[in-house]
Amino acid sequence: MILEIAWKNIWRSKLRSLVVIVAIAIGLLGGVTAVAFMNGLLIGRIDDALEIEVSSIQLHNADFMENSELKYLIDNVDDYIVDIEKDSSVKAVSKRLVIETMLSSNRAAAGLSLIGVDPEKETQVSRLYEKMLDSNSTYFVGVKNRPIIIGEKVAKKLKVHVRSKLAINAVDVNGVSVRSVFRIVGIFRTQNGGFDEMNAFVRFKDLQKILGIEDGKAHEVAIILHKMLETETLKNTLQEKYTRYRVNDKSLLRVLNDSIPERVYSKLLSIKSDKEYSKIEFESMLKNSFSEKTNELYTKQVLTACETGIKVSEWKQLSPELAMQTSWIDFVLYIFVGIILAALGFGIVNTMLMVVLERIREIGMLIAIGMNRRRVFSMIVLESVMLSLVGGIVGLFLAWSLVSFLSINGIDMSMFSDGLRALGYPSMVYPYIEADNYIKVTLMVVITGILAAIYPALHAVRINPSIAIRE
Amino acid sequence: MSIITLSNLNKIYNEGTDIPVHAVNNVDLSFEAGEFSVIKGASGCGKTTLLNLLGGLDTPSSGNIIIDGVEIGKLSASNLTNFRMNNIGFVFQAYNLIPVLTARENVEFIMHLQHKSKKERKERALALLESVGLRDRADVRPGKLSGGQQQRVAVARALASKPKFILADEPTANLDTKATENLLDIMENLNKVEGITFIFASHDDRVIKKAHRLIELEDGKVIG
Repeated sequence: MILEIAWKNIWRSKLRSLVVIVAIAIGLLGGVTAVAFMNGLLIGRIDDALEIEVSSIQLHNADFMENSELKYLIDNVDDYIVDIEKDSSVKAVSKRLVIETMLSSNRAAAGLSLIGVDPEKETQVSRLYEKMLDSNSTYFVGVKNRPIIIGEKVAKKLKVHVRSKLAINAVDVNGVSVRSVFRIVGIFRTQNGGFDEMNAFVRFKDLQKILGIEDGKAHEVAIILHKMLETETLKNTLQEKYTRYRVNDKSLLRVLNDSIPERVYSKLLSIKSDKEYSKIEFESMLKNSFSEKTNELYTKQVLTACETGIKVSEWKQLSPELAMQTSWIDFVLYIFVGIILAALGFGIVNTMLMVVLERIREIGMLIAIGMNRRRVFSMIVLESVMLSLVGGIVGLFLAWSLVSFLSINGIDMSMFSDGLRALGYPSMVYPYIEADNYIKVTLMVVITGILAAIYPALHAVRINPSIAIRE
Repeated sequence: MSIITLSNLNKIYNEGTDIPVHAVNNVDLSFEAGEFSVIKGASGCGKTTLLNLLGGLDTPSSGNIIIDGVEIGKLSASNLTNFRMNNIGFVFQAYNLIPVLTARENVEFIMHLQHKSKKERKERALALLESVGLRDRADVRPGKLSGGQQQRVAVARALASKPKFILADEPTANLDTKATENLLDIMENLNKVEGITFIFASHDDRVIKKAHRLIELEDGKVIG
């Protein structure tokens, strides 16, 4: 019955309650839609980043990650690919060669990463083929001899177009300078201007031949998963399986830089060799070389310092700024909606205080006939929560409707496309928000309703019935 | 047998100041079960203050109030609220019904506070509305009832918790002659037939005429 009275009380002053409800609804509509927009922007960025730039997981020679020299290749790369493809979470795998080089036309030159890909495999891992600028551009189709694909910005910089020739200057595996001519078959334009400016693509076999790299070797293996973002399990499995340990000059240098005691360093120096060990073998060796206490204290650091073999990196490591933004987006929602609700909360306090002041005699009567103060408090809090909830539900329904509509039709931000491209964001944004966030925002509304009612409710329970009923 | 005993009861407002107001002054009184009493006196003589003290709505400056063997001054605030709910019915001058509830719901409300079942609440509320002649207005909100009808609903509400007595503070002050007569007839009938104890505070001659016992107050003192 208290619930019923509280509900009916809300509608005593329809106009006043409607003002509060509309304010909450508009606040939530704005807050949730704004966050959905930011989320949509981020999702667009992540989708492109993973499907064009970094993929879900990448494998490299551990040394290549520190110094991307030509010689740091993954040996027996095809064995790794066969092994990875067995995992059911894997959608596609593609190997790549990556070198830093200078591209030159007869009018200008540009330094960038030249990536050798197997076009057939690569199209399963990367959507770059969808980003060709116009109908003249193709993804490695049309030119049999040494085709190259470059970004729009590079094409402008080098003042070239489709079918123009470009020269590549590089150093092969034997340290000999090589120069080779490629013909442009495609010019791409992704939403990330920086990516377009820094990357060009050729066929794996062409680059392999120019650089003199043997079969079965590659710099990079790109993996795309069915659930692109859920990389952690496979990453850990692969890392565990492929990591090797070695005590050489490089690992010893890392040991020195990692505040590991001198005695540990000296001992490691004495067992320095180029031999690679599995984790079990290496741990066993450390166990034999050091005391139990030293092992307990430093094994983890030594293992990290001596890691070699294959380095498995997930997209969060390859693109940490995206990972950070992803983890922050929920927090942004709470901050955004929290600020809006805090502001609205003061409005609710004011309304509920008016409600109490207008009903002093009635509340006095309720206390007089036997309604205890706990129930009076609950009644005022319930009224506030219901009022907030009505506004919250209306606002969230409107937000859900708007976000649902925009998630299909999108928001065209092409007037800002240059700025957005510079940051790697899409110019067509599809706002999106996780369903559970609507529940979380509803809870925030309820909490606001409760907090906003505390002061008015305390005012109500302090009413002296003998004075109030005479008012 | 007395159900209420007031001994040496005082209520002083502005105590400790230069102008203390002795609203109730050394009152010794007792009320028997089944009484139909009226506390009369001029405005400001302390009728309402005395009634508030009797109803546990105000605390005395000194003296004791014993209701059905319980010294209410010794009850905690929440126990006093429960005591009021179970033992005392109130009828106020301004009716004080809950405007968003129907007449029946208003009568049911106190029974809800007493955790009575829905069925019991409904049956008793309708029976009480019948007894005040408003059975056919059970589903009407107070705003659609006349002043007299609202006060009759208030009487039904006061009876709902099965109290030991009913305190009525100037219940006819806002009513016309016909409504007053009607209300007083109902209350008198409830007193006679069901033995309900009524204690009025009023200076209305129409109420005074019906009294079985008159208590006259002047400047907070019982003078007759």
